[in-house]
This record gives sequence, C-alpha cells and structure tokens, in this order.
Amino acid sequence: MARVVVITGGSKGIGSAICRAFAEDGDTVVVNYSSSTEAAESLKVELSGSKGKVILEKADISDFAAAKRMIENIVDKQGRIDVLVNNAGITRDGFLMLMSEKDWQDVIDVNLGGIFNCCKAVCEHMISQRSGAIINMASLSGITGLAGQTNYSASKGGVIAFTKSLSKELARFGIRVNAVAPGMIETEMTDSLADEARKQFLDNIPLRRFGSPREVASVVKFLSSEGAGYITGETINISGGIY
Amino acid sequence: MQDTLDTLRTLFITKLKLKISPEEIKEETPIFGAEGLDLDSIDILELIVGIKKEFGVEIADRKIAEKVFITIGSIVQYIESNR
Repeated sequence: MARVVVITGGSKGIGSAICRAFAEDGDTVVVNYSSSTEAAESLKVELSGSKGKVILEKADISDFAAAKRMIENIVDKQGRIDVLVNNAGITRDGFLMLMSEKDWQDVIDVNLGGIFNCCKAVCEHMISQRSGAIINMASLSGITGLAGQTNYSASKGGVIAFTKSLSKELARFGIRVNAVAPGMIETEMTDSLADEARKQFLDNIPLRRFGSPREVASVVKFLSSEGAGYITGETINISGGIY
Repeated sequence: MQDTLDTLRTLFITKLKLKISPEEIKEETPIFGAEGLDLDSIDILELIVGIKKEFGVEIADRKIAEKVFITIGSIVQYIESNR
C-alpha cells in the first residue's frame, strides 16, 4: 500500500536520494524544502515518471509555527503521514573559538530544533493512527566528534539522544523512531575536496571509499519498513566501517 | 611595527615550539603550506590565545581569522590597527 512519506530538506543531496527511493516504490513523497525552490522543482520533474506521487512543501522547519502548518497541511490533503524523515540540516563549520553565536544557534535551530518541531507536529497524527515511522538524520560527527564542528556534532549527538527518548515515548502507540548516522557521503561537499584531503579521508575509511546518497536512502527506507518492525530507538552507522 | 613583529616572532617560536630562528620569520612568510611555516588550522587557536594575551587584540570570528592568518605581515597589520 502506498504510504505518505514526508522528507524534510528533500530537494538536494541525501534528501533527494531518499525522495527517489520512496518514489520508486510508489509512495506519496512530500518533499519539504526551504530555499532551494529550483532544486525541488527539478526533482519533481525528474520523479514525475516514477510510480509515486511527488508533492512539494516549502517551509522553514526551524520555525515552530511553519513546521506545524506544514504537517497540518499535509494531513489535511493526504489524510495521513506514515513516515517522517527528518533530513534537513545545515553546517556552519568553524573552531569554537572562532564560532559566532549565530553560527552555533542556526545549526542547533535547524538540525535539532527542526526535528523537535516536526516530530511534535506529527506525533498527534501518528498516535491517532496507531502507526508511523520517524527516521532522523544524525551523523558520524555526532558520535565521534570532529574538530571544527562543535555546533554540528552537538546537534547530531542531540539527535541521537532525542531519538532514543522519543522512541520510548511513542513505542506503545506503534510508532518507531530511529536514526541513521552517515559518515563521508558523496555530495557536493566531497566533490569539492582537494585531492590530498580526499586521500586523507579515504585512508581513514576501512571500506576505502565514500558512501553514496543511495546507500543512505536504502537504510532509511529499510527503517521505515515492516522489516524493521522490531527496531526502535536505534542509530545505524552508515560510515564504511568508522566507529 | 618592529616591536609587534618581534613579539610575534617570539610568540610563534615559544607557543608553537618552532625549531627556527626569529630571523627566519619574515613579514612575507606564509602561515600555511610548506613554503611558509607549515602550520595547521589548530595551531591558529594557540596563536589567537597568545595574541589576545600579548596584545589585547581579540580574534573571535572565522571570517576575520581567514583574512588575518595569511602571512606574518597580515597578522602584524591586524594587531597594529586593532590594539
């Protein structure tokens, strides 16, 4: 049966790969985006031939009211939300000593606040349905830490802890809450790495390659599926062997 | 200007334990890369603390740091115009 799947920050990078994966299966995919209108529209065109229906929802999920409006709007139009993938995230890298309060706050507001906003808004609907799956985007950085990413790693470490707590709150309603923690994934960011930096990263990855967005999407899809029915509160590393 | 440069030279050598003589640190010496002092970005944190202690000049913004930590001369210039 086709499900209604909401993917925040779905227009680019890993988010768009997740959208593709669900659309290929015939699900109704709601692609949330904030400023990347062009990317969102081109993804919709690209997926127009897929089995699933694609709907665009522009909203800044770091804004509590906007996130709530978006979720209400989707439930009004689609009747339900089966899967929420909290993928939206930003980086504002810099050493703590050089980090502005704004760079700290922006990252926390989007990466952690956005998940709070969307989960809070979707909870009541999933509780009424007595079903649902929430998958949160964490990061290897939230487990191992990374110099220059105190804001990002704190937000992602927070996502992992948030996932554990919320999974315990929602389990009795048949709602599972999990996270994935990608390591180095081929995106615009890794494309722009200098050869030397690329080599250094690769030398530290046991599988000796970067992951693909598709490999993250397949794990997200698995966590949303019945096959993962006994998994909740878990964070799955997708890191090529780095722990 | 010369005082600032001399103090900075001492700062570099003592704080970063550079095994070079003060005279080898010139205004045009790059901070990064094998052609220069070959420091890495974490070394800069040590310098930020040292510069604040020594000159009372604070560097707390990444964009400013990127402009300041290019050569010894660019650091001297920033210190001179902000102390």
